[in-house]
Amino acid sequence: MERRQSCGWDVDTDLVVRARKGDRAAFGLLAAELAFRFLAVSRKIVRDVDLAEDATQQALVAIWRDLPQLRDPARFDAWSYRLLVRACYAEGRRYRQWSPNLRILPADEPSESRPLDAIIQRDQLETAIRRLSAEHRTVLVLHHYADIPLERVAQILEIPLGTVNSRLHHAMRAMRAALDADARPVAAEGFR
Amino acid sequence: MTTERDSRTRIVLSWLREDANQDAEPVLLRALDEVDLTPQRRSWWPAVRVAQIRRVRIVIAAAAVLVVAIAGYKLLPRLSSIGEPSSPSAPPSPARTFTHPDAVKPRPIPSGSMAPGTYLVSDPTLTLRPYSVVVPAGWIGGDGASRGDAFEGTGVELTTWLITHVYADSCHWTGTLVPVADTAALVAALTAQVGHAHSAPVATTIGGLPATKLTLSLDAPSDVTGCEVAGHVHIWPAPGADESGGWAMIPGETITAYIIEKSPQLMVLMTVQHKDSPPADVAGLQQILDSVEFQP
Repeated sequence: MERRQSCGWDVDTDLVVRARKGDRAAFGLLAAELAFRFLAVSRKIVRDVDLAEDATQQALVAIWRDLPQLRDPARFDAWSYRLLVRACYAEGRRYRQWSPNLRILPADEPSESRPLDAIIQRDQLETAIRRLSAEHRTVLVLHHYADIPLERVAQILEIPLGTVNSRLHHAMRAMRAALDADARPVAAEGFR
Repeated sequence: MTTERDSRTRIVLSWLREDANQDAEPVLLRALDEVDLTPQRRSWWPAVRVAQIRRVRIVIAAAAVLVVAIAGYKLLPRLSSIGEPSSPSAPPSPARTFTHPDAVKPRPIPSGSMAPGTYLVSDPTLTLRPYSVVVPAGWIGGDGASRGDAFEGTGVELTTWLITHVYADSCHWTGTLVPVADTAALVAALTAQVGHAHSAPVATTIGGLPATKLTLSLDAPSDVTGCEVAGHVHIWPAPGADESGGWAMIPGETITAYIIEKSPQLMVLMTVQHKDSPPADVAGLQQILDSVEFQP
């Protein structure tokens, strides 16, 4: 059984091959491996719990549906991330800037144990990341959160490596700037 | 300065890498439920290969017929000149063209990059009647087709919505839902809606169906910071007064809505563009709109 690691997690290619042939039990195991990571990554991209859940669900179903079209199981990791990113973009387009029932990300809830400065800092970072375009945010999350090498990020997003570098540079600069003393006020809730 | 920059980078990366413990099991179970109802799309490439082989055979056969015809044409006058005059030839039969069915068969719109071609939208949660649409290269599929950065207010999009309610006030929308049951009610609600500009309604046709065209626009310098959620206005909720979704407009956005009624239901086919949308994308959007064809 071949196991490999190229996008930050182990992909059991045997499960991929079986699922590709229509084995639902194998897909169930594969999906169980993916679900937590996909949910975490999509939350970082769309910045909303509900949208992230929808994007993750859509991505898993799309993986099942289109798996027979994946000719090389060794490319599963990049391919599946690509479907997740597309699902995030689709959710964002569908519900852009629309979140009257927004569930705040648990990690962003202020707690009494956190000093005020830290809370303000987190607000500034949250503001900054929401102001990034989805494309910039995606590069930032895939590389710095999912720990995917830039070359693989370029493959996932089907864009040149130079574009990945440029987006990452722009995104990091914007995030760092948010920590400046004159950081902008907290952004409105919602997905941008 | 370098130290400050490194320190800020560390803070950003530390914040980015934080994990929130969210239970993925409900999502997984919902996905697997949906998978149970979802057939896999079998690989397309063997079919293409078969089609290609068939096409090669057709081409070889056609070439053979052509060779025989040319040879015959060259030979016939000589044979005729030897013997009796030839009889007048019969009029040529109309040329038969071969169109591969895959070339015109509409496909469902994918979620993500779209290959150029004809697509069919038939999901009853998106449209009251199935419609086909021709999309050029470089567009992204979803509920319709879009291009550009929809998040930054430069994108363009063609999409549809089923509409049952409209907000009376698009800026302070809570508690202002108005049910709309027919075209007249929807036009009245949208033209009376507070918070944006609109055109006069115009009777027209779209994709072969009678429709009412109405343009809604929110000027780029509009101040919507004082709205219920700063930055945008809400036009209508998802069908059934589901306020967890719906359509929101941002400053600089223009919606051209084609209202279509299939009593007792209403839908809009709409194009969306922004003040800074590239002209080429706007032209592409118009091209896509012009290609829309509703099925009978």
